[in-house]
Amino acid sequence: MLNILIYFRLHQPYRLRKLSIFDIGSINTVFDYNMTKSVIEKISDLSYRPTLKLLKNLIIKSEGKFKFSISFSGLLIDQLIEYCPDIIELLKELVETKSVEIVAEPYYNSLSFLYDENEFIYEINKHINLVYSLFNFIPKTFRNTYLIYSNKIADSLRGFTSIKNIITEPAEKVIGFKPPVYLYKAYGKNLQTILLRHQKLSDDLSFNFSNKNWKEFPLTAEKYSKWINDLQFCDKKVKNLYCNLIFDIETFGYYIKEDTGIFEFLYDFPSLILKNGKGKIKFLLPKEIEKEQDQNLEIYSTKEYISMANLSKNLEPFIGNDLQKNSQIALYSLISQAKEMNEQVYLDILRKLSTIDYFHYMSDQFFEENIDYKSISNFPSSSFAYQNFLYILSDIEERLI
Amino acid sequence: MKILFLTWEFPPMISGGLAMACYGMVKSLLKRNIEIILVLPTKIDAYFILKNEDDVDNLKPIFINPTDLNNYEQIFHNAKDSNIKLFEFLGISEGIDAYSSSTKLKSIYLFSDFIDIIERNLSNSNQAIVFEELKTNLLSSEDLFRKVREYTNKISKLVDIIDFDLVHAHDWLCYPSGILASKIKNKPLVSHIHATEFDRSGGVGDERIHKIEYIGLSLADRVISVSNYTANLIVNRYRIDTAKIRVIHNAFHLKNMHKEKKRIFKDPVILFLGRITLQKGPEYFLEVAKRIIKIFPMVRFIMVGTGDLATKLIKKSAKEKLLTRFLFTGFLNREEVESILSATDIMILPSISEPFGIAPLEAMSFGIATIISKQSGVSEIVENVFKVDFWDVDQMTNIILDLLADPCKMQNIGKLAAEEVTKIQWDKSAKMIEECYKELLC
Repeated sequence: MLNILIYFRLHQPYRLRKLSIFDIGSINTVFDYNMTKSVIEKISDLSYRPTLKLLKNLIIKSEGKFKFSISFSGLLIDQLIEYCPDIIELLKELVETKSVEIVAEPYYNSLSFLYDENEFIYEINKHINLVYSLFNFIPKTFRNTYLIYSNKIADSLRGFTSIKNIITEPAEKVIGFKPPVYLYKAYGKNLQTILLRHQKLSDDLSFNFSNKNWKEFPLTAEKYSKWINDLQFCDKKVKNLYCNLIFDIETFGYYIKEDTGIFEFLYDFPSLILKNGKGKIKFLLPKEIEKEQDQNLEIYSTKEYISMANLSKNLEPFIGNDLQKNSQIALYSLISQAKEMNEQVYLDILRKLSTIDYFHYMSDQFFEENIDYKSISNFPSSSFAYQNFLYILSDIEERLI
Repeated sequence: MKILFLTWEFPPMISGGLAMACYGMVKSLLKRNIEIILVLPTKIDAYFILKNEDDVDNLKPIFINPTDLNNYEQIFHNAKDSNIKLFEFLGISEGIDAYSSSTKLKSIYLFSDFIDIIERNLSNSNQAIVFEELKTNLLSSEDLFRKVREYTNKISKLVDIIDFDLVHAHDWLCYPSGILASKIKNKPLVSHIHATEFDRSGGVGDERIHKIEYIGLSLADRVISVSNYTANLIVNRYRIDTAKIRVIHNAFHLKNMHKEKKRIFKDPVILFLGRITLQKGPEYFLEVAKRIIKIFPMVRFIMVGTGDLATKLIKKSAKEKLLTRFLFTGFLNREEVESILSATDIMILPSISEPFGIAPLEAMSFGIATIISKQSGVSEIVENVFKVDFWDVDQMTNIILDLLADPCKMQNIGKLAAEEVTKIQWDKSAKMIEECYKELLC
């Protein structure tokens, strides 16, 4: 049996204000709420609303055969509650179908695991509490920011007994050239099951669907479901194979525009997969894995961090340069200062500032890859983003000292 | 006395100290009843006649071409008192590259005429060789050189319709036109040197510019140098005849005495103010910051300005992990510079080679404890500052640590500095400039 596990993810950071040095110590807020609101409304119109509605229709149409996971940063939920509460209602409706599993993640989409394990645990707790209070759901599965993983992450999660599965990226240095269609278990005494993203099939849709230079262009639902169907032949010996497909929801309608036919694609491909699979392919939720587990799992063990962010699958896009490192060290030292002083208001702001997106803007690569960065970032270059971030931290620091 | 005054910068067209120096100088010369005919690198052929002291703040263009005048009057009528619109029309605004002209060079032959005139006037063969190369370079198409050529062409048109007693040209950009005007009308030339190519490049610079500086200073009847430091440099490097050099220090134009402190940071602020280029020694500032923050972390180092080393410095400072204690502002306008000065406690000018350096005077007027490089002209005229070799980061560090440990001492030196700087006035320097004019005219 080939099990298809699909994950849709939603995340947007708060947009930062563009400050001058003279604003330090005298501003009301470091966030640009107007821009935050207009970006989130635009993405809701173009992507969240139509995609979530379509997904709900697919569940109903398939009579429960189509199922998927969903995850979101806590920051995004905060924004939706304030600016687009109808999206929260759509999410609730989806969860009520019982065909949707919510995956836990760090509330602030941060790198806290690198700097402060207590912060990391705090963030996961906060996220689990949010999911429970809003959706009455207890997450069984966890994904870290950018699927970042090392043995340390499994250790940190040991205290969360409800978390049974961790999703991460397959790395050659861990599993060699084996196809990413197997389950693994975490190293040592950790009990979690490790699920690996199918990078190629995930990226074929996310990055290549609208890429006219791609040799497989255009990607049709028929073609895609055939590729998935072919995965069955990877290994005939094991009883179950698993294919984890992870997509940003923003891909549907926002990154890839509606006129490319992306929504038609999404509507067609689940039923095609089931049809082509002839009973040998089914959709599965990670929480259902436990009872199907019948194999002696290999261990997925890595001391180095693995991420889905780049081809080298490391942390370079976020901590690769000195601008990023210096701002992160400064940020986490302020976080611990605010904790010591019990300054909850500033602690809350600082945590929001730990979102990885802001460090992404400090890499030159970000500006090379995102030609339309103006719509999401207020800054024309990595130096500007850095300079502004230091102003923001200085502003908070001035209030703390 | 009518002076044809040629400069590349003048407020509101500011990019560096040259604009502020010319402003103060002209204002004080006007007080002495000297008439100034000011020519700036405007896109449109225009010049300014200044007779009263107030005229420096209210430049009224005179147009060579009457249609320009019509257009200008129309804009003036619509814009009421928006100076910016008017200066846009003239083709000047803030920033050094404001003068980017696309007007066709109609009068290239005039430029050749200029070359002929000078060639006939060359006094020795050495000059002739250099001039031959100068000619080639000025006829090249490179942007800045093209602008210099256009400016020189404009002067060649102007000299026929205006009357003047003496030409006063500032820095290499205006030397070709200065020579031209002086030779055509057979009037004396004063070449004012504010900065040499050696200063700007931090060593040997663009050979073409060196040659223009050499010829501009060699052909001048008088050379005014902004400091002994610069006078030595041009004697040593360009072999300029010492007898015709006059050292007249720049001064400081006190606009208003509003020097109230308005802090941004609770912790002491240590400032770098200038272009972030090799000449200004920004790396020494970072080096000092590194040492201080290690010992005394509760300070803020702030770097104001832009330049070709800015990105490198940002990256380098981040590498030192100085957290939020080392900040950059980018370019700040006049008003913002004053705001940052009012929030500053200590200022460092670590220039590798600074012909004069007006920023420390401004800092002093704000009561800021100031550390200046010994390799600067300004260090010749001020006492209540710390003078240090630009490379001596240890000494700079010790001075700062000492001041941080003793705020009373810091305030005291600032107070003395503020008093001292009120005495460094343009009126005194303008009197010396007038004497220099008189020597040539009688």
